[in-house]
Amino acid sequence: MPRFDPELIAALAEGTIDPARAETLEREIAADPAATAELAAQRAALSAIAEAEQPTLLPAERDRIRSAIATELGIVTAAEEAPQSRRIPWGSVAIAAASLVGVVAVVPVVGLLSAGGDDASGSIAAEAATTAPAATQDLDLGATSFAEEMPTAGAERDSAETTEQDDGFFDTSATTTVPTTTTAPTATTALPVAGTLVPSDDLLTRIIERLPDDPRAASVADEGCNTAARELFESDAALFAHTERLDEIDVIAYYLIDTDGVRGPVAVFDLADCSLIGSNG
Amino acid sequence: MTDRASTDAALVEQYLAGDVEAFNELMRAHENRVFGVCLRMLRDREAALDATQETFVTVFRKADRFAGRSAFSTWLYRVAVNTCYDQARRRQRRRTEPLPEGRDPADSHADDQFKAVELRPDLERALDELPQEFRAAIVLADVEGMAIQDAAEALGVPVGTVKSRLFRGRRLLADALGNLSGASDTQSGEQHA
Repeated sequence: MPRFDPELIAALAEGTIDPARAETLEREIAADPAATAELAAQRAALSAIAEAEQPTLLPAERDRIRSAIATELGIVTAAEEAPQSRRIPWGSVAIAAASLVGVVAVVPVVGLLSAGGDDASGSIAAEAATTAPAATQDLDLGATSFAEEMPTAGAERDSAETTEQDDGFFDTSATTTVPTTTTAPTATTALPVAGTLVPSDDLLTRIIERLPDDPRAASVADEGCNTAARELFESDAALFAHTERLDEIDVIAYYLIDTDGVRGPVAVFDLADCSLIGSNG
Repeated sequence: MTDRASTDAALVEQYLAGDVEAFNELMRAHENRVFGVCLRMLRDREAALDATQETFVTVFRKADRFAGRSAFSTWLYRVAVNTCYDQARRRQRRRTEPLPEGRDPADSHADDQFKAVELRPDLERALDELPQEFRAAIVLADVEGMAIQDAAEALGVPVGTVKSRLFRGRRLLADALGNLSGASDTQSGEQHA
């Protein structure tokens, strides 16, 4: 039997024991080669873990995920309602802006030269007047998202390729992030109705039908939703569990067995998140 | 309840009330950590991206069932871990299926899976060698810094089980790190010979 409680060794390695107690314990452990090796192993693992960096989503990956999630949930973003702004056409914007400046500068001159005429300058000016707000709106949309995303984008920029960063970043603003400012008046919300499970009663009935005839034939899995089941049953007695995949959902049915070997009420949980699907108790 | 937990609970309510920005805020707050957990659980960037996506879809779809008894993040990581277990099972099943004709096994992306993590390769490989349940405990408690109680809730096991898995998992991790270090020493020794 080990002389030292593993929990104590772990706590010492984690540094969660008060210093005075830790010093004494360290001395005692030093006299025990097995415990010393154990402590060294715990510290080596924790030290390696402490050096590990947090993995980060690349902007393009983040865009992809947010976009896919939004699509699956049926969330409508401003960008989806205005697909022309999915990617900010900086080149076109620059040309449009330059043209606008040129037109603003040229129109008075042309106006002076062709007073009252219906020449092309009128239509160019009209076109510029109609395209300018659109261009401004795109720019604002980008600028808003840029400001929102700056800290993250900046941090990730260090470790990622610039081209991916830029592409990904602007995709983010266009595909999934809905700006909060008034620059996106079309950012209407269309959230889905939460929960897409099949009717609980139906699923409950079907899984009960599939339970083994001998209640004790099921076993208690270590994983699963034991905690949730215990809370529900308010019992520490042995739990019996049966897992099934029904309608693309992994479910787990729990029940207790009384002293006569009779199965008690059944509670069925969604294994993905241990939410209760239903119970017949 | 921590500030983060309170904020998350409020954001979930706002999301359920139809606020898209609450969705964005929750994504921003948690997507990297969920991805980190999934990447370390699955050791494959693409699979981790899929699992991250699936996790958030599940959580948002069932947001109305979030009772707030535990922190939103605990619930989120529980879903993430279970999604990763599920993904790992599916991948395992696929691996046992015969390869389609004409596919050269040498074309597999096994090497890429290791390159994909690119953090501390020896640690990532050592984590990969751990039994899944030990890895999950270590990733949540030691890597992500979750409190043992929260990790226990996320894993759906008693606190004592998490402690035991952490203790044994760290020991295995240290062994694996030692072996990997020994192996790389040998390899570099051979290269220099």
